[in-house]
Amino acid sequence: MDKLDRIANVFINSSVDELKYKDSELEIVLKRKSRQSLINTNDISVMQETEDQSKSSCETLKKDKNDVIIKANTSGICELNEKLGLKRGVKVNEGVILCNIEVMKNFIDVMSPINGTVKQIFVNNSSVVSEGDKILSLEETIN
Amino acid sequence: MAEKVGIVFCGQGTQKIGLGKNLLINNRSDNNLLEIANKNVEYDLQEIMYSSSKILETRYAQTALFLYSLSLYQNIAKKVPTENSIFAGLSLGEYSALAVSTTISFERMVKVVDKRGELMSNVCKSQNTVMVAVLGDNIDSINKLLTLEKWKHNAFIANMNTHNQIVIGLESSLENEFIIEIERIGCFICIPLKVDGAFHTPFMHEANKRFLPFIEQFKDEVVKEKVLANYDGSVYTAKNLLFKLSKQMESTTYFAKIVDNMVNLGVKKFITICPNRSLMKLVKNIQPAYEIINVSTTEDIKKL
Repeated sequence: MDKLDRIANVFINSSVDELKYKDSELEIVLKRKSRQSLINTNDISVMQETEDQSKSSCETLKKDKNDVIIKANTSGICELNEKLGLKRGVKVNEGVILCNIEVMKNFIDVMSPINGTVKQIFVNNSSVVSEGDKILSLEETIN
Repeated sequence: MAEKVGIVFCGQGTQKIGLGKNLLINNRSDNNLLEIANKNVEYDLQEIMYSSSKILETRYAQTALFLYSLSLYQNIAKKVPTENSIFAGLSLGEYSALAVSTTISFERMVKVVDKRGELMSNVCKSQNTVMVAVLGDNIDSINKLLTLEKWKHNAFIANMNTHNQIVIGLESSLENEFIIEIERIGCFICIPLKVDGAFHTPFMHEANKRFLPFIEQFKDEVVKEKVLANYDGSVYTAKNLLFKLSKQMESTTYFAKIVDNMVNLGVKKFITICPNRSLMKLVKNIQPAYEIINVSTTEDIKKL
């Protein structure tokens, strides 16, 4: 139920008109009635972070099959969480801090939205990222 | 009674090459600010903002961000009346906040901001100081450590950014030892920062001393709207204007307190003025329940 609430909340606060979500437990389609134009999501589900979730995972999640791309939610210096020893094959839990993005001497958390395994890391530690840049990809763990 | 809006200006660190280019080119009144600014600095500010990596340096970043912020605010003020607003800014951003909430003119303020950038840049070149961010839940315990004889003259809290993030400024030779000690006393994460020097600590004393004569010119200025100070998180008055401003460069900034106090003063919604969304996220971290809109372009203003 938590998951359903979370997805619904993300959709309500997002700018998209239609959202499809599918995993091993559920498959849902949410459509907004108040706007005429619907985006063609095809097989891609789009989840856009709301500002109420500013401490949450990432700016945009693009799911392709079971992969989730984690993107920078602001511009700044990306500090990967050294304690996780992030590299291909490392497992991460939902809610864990994958990296911080530093700007104005403040750190913005980027958390994992899922339980998954690191598939690819797109940035070097301490590198400058722009909002929307890919940080890493995760393959979702299907229970 | 109209809803109060908290207008928060960004600080150094958010600058980027090409800052404000579209904004300044497309708006005649903004161009006037650019012209005024250019007449009052000894370099081509427009060239630095539009295409030079010099904008990343302390020397130029402050003036560029000040001009960018004020240009955006000119347009925001057409939609959000000044009298319904309460102002603040992070560090440098406080000068933008003061420029729109006091009788200090843009022309006089841009000169002072430019001097601030110059002095802070110069003092950093003559020192070996660093800054370390400390992230954790029991941040107050770090205060105790800093009162110990070993640290009290060498390490200082520079920024109380949120309720779980602070920044310490210290001599670079002590950095490793300090991080080990901080991590020993509690469950903290320490991250060294890539900055020119230890801003907002007593290491800035020499720069601040040279800066004070430039601040003195504001002694007869009047505070027209509510504006909060980094020095203590409370409101400026005509009486304390010089004092708080004279302390800012070498004192801890209390940004979390500022945001909390804006809510206490009746703010129901925040507008952050920043080239990226980091300031919005910072405010959200401190006050998660409030609506926050970031303005970085004129397009964003249309949505207000």
